[in-house]
Amino acid sequence: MSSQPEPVAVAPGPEERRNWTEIAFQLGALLGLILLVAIFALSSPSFLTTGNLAGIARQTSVNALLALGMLVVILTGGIDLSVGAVLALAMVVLAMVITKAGLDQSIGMVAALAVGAALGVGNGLLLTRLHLPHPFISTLGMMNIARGAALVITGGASISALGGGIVKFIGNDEILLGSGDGAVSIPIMLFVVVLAYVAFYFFLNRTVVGRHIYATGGNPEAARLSGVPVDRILVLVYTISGLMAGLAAVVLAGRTDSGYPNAGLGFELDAISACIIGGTSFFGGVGTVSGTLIGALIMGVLRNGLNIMSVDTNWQTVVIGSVIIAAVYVDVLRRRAGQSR
Amino acid sequence: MKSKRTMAAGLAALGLVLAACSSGATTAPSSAAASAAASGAAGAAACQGKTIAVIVKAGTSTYWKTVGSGVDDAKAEFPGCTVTFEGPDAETNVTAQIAEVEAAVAKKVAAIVIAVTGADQVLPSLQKAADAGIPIILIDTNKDFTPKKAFVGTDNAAGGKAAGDYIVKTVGVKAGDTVLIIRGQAGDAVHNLREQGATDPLKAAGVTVIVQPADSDRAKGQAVMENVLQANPNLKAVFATNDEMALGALKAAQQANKTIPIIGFDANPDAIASIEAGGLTGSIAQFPKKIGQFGVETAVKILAGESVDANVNTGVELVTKDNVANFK
Repeated sequence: MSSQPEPVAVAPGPEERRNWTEIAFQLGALLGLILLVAIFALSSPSFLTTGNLAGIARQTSVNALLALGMLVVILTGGIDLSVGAVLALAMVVLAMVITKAGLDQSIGMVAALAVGAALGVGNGLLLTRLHLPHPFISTLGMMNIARGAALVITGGASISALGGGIVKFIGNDEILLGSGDGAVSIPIMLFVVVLAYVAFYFFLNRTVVGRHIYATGGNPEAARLSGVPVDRILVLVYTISGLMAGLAAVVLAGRTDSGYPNAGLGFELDAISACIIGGTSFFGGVGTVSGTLIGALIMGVLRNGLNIMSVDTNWQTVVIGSVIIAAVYVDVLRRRAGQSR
Repeated sequence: MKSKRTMAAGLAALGLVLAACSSGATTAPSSAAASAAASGAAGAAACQGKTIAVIVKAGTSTYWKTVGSGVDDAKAEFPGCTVTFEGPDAETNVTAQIAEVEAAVAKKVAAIVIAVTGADQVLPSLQKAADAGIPIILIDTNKDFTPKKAFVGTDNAAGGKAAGDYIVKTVGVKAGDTVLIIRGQAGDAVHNLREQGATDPLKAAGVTVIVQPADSDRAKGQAVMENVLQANPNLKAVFATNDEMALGALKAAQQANKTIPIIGFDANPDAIASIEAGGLTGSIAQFPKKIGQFGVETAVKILAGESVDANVNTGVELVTKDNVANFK
């Protein structure tokens, strides 16, 4: 992170104001994650293996990236329902650039990021220029448009076999650390996710724009009066969310070696869940990068563990719902304990 | 609500995918066709000057056009009949289909052959049609609708059974072996039938069957396969209730350096290409053209006063490397 600009005269972020409430708040979701891991580890010897942990990392990456974008949006009091559909459109554009146009995977990757960012700008402008009443509406519209466009340009068919290059490297390849039986394969996408989380941590906590994002969500009117360019911040956060959907599309395309128009169905709900489980407030102004990572991990570990234990299909849905509620409730309890201190 | 619609649109697109391959199919059960042809003379007389309205889920999509080409074949069999073919602009446009049903009732058509779109929103207007004495034949999508005279479509349980039988007989799994079934969304009737159809022969052979959901999604199918392989490295075979999940499972198996027979469902172009390249072991093909043809033939039989089967199966076929050339 050497390229990170030096923080100048910026108020400390919430993750630096370490009072007891904050720590307890953080611990809440983390406690849920630890509990979940303990239950699965005790239930199945296959759970805590390096192979399975790499699997969890691969399966969590896409949601972890989408959740980061979702976090900055929810911090402003907004919501982005379009991320799953934007991912699908970016993914099929990427696949078509590579297979139909025959261009290098790097061009496909740039195209996916551009599609994501462009639709994000669109979301932001719908909100700030057309003055649609709530981002729920603008991003819901964008969700349908992007999904429809993905279906239209592919004729509803999947595109497979993207060949080799940067997309495959990011989404599919692994680095082997160590040798022999102790060797551990680390998926490349894990590095992408870690880099993104570190970058977002610094962005939200150490830059003026990052502080403006929190301010916008905390109290938009006060933010406006104190000189925060609220409209520009709003366009920015939806652009970031779109860009992250584009990045997630690159990862998923590499992982599945394909682009398909039905990709990402319901991903927006997983991303929102990760944020909320991680302690982000729907009302804006409250939420952390680390909490979001824990939220995404809870979702990923849960799905993985249920598969490993071969839990009945119909029950899985019940269990997922229950754990989400339990994880957030642990948070509520912790926060209450912190406040009564 | 909206997100459900998007999902429906997504599923619709999945449907589209089915079409391309089936048009090339040459083999299909012919019993229904033969019996319809036998009653052809009486049928032609029965519907002379009458109109049969065929209403599908989306008039313009590839899949429904293939169904429509089967309707055209039936039309040629009964030159005296007027057979109309229509559908909304999109499978999600439920109100347009309701309007088409109402228009058919107003025109006093002799029979309605319909692929009901949406959940059950169209059924009340179909009830009115039935009350007006118009026989209703459901095609493609079966519904719990008492007045229906027949359902014509893919027997999804038979498709599942074909996959299960293949895994037992040709792959040669034995009692005590473990087989994974990756299925679509929990509670979805079509996937229930496919799952059950495959489970029966596997259980009968003493095989341990693991069933896990992946919502018909490729990436989720891949994740499920990765996870199940962690706990069951000796998995002997996989059946996925659609091709997308099968292709995801294949990717996971390849990444784990394992060669495991995987069978999908739908025989979509991607799956066909994969079977040809030695990836997927097989996929269950359906015959949308037969759905259109048998639908109209069944309507004609009803008009002729003949008895019809409550469920007319349009057949399924397992596509493997041996016969994949017929499906391109």
